[in-house]
Amino acid sequence: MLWDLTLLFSVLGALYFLGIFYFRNKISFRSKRLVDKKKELAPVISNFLFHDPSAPIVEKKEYVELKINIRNELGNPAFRKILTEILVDLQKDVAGETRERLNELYYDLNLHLDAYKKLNSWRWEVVSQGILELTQMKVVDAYSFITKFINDKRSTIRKQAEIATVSLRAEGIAHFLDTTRYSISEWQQLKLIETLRTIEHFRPPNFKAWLISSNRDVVLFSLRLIKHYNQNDAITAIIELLKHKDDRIKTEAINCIKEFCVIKAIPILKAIYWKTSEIIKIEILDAIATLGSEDDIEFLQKVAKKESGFILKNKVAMAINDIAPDTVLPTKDIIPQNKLSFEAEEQSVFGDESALKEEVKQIADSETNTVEPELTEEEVGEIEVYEVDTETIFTANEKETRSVDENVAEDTTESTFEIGPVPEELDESINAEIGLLTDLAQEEEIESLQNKGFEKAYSEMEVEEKDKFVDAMHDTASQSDIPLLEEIMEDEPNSELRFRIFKIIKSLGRNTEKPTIETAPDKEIIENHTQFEGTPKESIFHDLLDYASDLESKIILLEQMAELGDEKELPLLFMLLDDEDAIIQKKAEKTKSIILLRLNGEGSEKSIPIESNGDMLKEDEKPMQTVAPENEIVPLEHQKELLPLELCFLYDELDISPPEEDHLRIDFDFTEEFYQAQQRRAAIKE
Amino acid sequence: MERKDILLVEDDDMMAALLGHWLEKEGYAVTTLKNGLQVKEALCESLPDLIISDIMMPYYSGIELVDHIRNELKLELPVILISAASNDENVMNAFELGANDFISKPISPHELLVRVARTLKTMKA
Repeated sequence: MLWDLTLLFSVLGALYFLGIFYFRNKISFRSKRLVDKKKELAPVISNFLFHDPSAPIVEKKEYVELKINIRNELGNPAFRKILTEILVDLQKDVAGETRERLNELYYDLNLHLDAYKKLNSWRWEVVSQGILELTQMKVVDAYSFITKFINDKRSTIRKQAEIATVSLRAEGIAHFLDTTRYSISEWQQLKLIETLRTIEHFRPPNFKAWLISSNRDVVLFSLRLIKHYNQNDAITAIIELLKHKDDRIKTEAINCIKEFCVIKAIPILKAIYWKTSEIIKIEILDAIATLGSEDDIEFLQKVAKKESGFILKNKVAMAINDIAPDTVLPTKDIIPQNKLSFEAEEQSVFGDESALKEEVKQIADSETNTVEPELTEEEVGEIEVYEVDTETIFTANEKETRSVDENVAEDTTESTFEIGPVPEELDESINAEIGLLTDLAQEEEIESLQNKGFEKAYSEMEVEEKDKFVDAMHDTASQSDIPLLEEIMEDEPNSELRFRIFKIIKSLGRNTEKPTIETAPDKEIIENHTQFEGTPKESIFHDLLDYASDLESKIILLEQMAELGDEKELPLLFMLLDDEDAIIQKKAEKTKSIILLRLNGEGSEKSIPIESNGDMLKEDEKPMQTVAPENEIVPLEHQKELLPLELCFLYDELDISPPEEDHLRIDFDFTEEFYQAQQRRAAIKE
Repeated sequence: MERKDILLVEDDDMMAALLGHWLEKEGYAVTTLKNGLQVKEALCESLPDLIISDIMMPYYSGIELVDHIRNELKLELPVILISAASNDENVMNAFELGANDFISKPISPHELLVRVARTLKTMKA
C-alpha cells in the first residue's frame, strides 16, 4: 500500500513537472515565434506604413509583392493573431499620422473581423478584448455592435462598451447617457471624462438634458460634465437638485453653484440646511463662505448657536471670517485685554510710547469710522489730519515729529490734507482712552468720589481728631477743598465744628466760583484796589508782624487781619505774598481774598462803576451794568433761592423757618460769640 | 552634407524598425542595438554623434547607460531617452544623470526628428 501511494505521488509529481515544462516551453516558443514574426514583419509593416505612392516603380513592385505575401499569410489564424498583436502594441507607442496609418492598415487587412468574432464569444474576457481592440484601432463601424453591450450584465464588458461608445463617435456620450441603466462608478466617470478629453474637436452636448434622468448616476455624471464644460445655463435645474434626496447629487449641485457663483441659490441653501446630513451642511457652509455676503452672517451665527459639533462650528467661524474677515478671533488661552492694556501703559510710562500712540491712532481711526462709515475723499483727508493732531496729545517731543509731518505734507503736491483742530467728539474719546480729563463734570465726579472717602474717614473720627483736622484744614485748605468741607459741614453734628468749617469755607471764598459783579475778586479789581492804597507800613499789622518771632504768631496775626483788616492791609498782604515761608504766603493769599471780598461788598454799595470785566470806567462813561442803590439791595436770582449759611444755622438752632419774604432786607452778621453762647445754652439744657 | 551617426537602442524590434525608418528617411545613419551591454561594447570601438535609447531594457536600463557614459566613460556624447512611463522620477533621474532630452511614448515621428535635430545642433554649437 505504501509503495502504491509512493508510486502514485511520484507519477503525479512527474506529471506536474511535465505539465509545467510543457506549458513553459509552449509560452517560450510562442513568445519566441512572436519575436521572430515581429522581426520578419517589422520591415513589411514599415513598408506598408511608409509606402509612398509616388515612389519609384521598383519600390512599388516590392510593395505589391509584400501585400500579396501578407494576403496569403492572412489565411493563417495564428499569423492574423500575431499581426493584430503587433499592430495593437505598436499603436500604443506611436502617435499622429503613423497611428492613423496603423489603424488604416489594421482595417485594410480585415483584422477587425476577428475582433467582431470575439464580440460573439461567451467568454467575458474575449468579448472585452474584442471591444478594446476595436476601440484602440478606432474601428468606427463597430460602434453599433458595441453599443449593445452598454447594459450588459457583466460589468467588465459593460464598462469597456461604455468607453468604446464614448470614444468611437462624438454622439456616443449622449447615447450612453440616454441608454445606460446601470450605475456609473466614480472611476468609470473619470475614465469617461478622460476619454472625452482626448476626442479631437469634441463639441459637448448640453448636459442639463440629463439632469432629469431617472438614473441618479446619470444625473450625478451630468452635473460633473456640466461643471467640467462650464455649462452654466443649467442653473435653475441645478438649484432644483439641491432638494434631491441623494447626498452625492446635492454635493455636486453645491459644487456647481460654487463654480458658477450662483448667489441666488443661497436662500435655498439656507432653507435646506437644517434638513441635511453633516456632510451636506459642511458643503453648504463652504458655499455660503464662498458666495455669501454680510446679510448671511445672521444665519451663520444662528447655525453656530444651534450646532453642537466642532466641525460645523469651525466651518461656521471660517465662513463668517471669509465673509467678514477677522470677525471671529481666537478666544482660548488668550491673555485678557485689560492685562495687555496695563502692560502697554507700563511700557508707555517707561518710555515706550510708540505702542500706545499706535493704539490711540487706531482708536481715532475706529472712532472716525464709527461716526462716518462712508467717507468722501475730502473726509478721508480730514481723518488723516486728525491722526496728525492726535499725536500732539502726547509729548512736546512729538511736536517736532508733527512739524516734520506737516512739512512733508506741504511738500507733497498731491496731498490735499488740511491741518485743523481735533473735533470735539474725537478729542473727548481720545482723551478718555488715554486717561486725560477734559470735561469739568468728569473732574467734579472724581473729586466727589475722593471726597466721599474723606467724608467716611472724617465721620469715623473722634471729636478731638476732628478738631485737629479742622485746625489743619484751617491752615492748609485751598479752594479745591471747599466741596469736601461743605459736605463735611452738612454731616457734622457738632455745631462748633460746623461753624469753624463754615468759617474756613468763607475764608476760602467759595462765592468766587460763582462770580457776580458785586463779589467777583478779579485780578483787575485787586489791582484797582492796590492803586488806591499806600505803603505796607500804613497797616497796623506791619509792626506786629515784624515783632512776631514765630510762624504761629504770624498766622494768628494774619487771621486777625482777615477779620479786622481793610484796604490798608492790602499792600502788606501783597508784600507777604512774596514771603519766604510758603505757609505765610498761602495765609496771606487767603487773608487778602477775605479782605477783598469784604471790600467788594462794600464797594458795591458805594456804586463803584465796574464793568463786567472788572475795568474801571471813566467818569463820563455810562456804566454798562446798573448797580442797586444802598437802600435797594436786590439780591441776584440765585441769591434769592440760597439763604446765607449763617442764617441757615440760626434757623436750625432755633428750629424756625425763614419768612417767605424779607421785608427788612437787613444783612445780619453773626459773630462767633453768638454761636458759642448758643452752645453753652444747649449744654446747660442737656 | 555629412551624415550623422545615430545609435538607436531599442529592445522592441517593431519599434526599432519604425524609429530606424523615420530616422533613415530623414538622412541619418542608424545603428540599432538591443540592450545596454551591446552599447558598452560598441562605444569602445567607435562613438556615434547621438544615442537614442529606451529606458526600459533588459540587463541594462537607459538611465544606467547614461550614468555609464557620463561618469565612467566621461563622454559628452548627446543622449535622448525614450520611455512609455513619463513620470517625474524617470525624467528627473534622466536629466540629473546628464541626458540631453527625453521623449515619452507614444512617439510622433515629427517630434522625434525635431528633437534629434535640435540636440545635434546644440552639441555642435
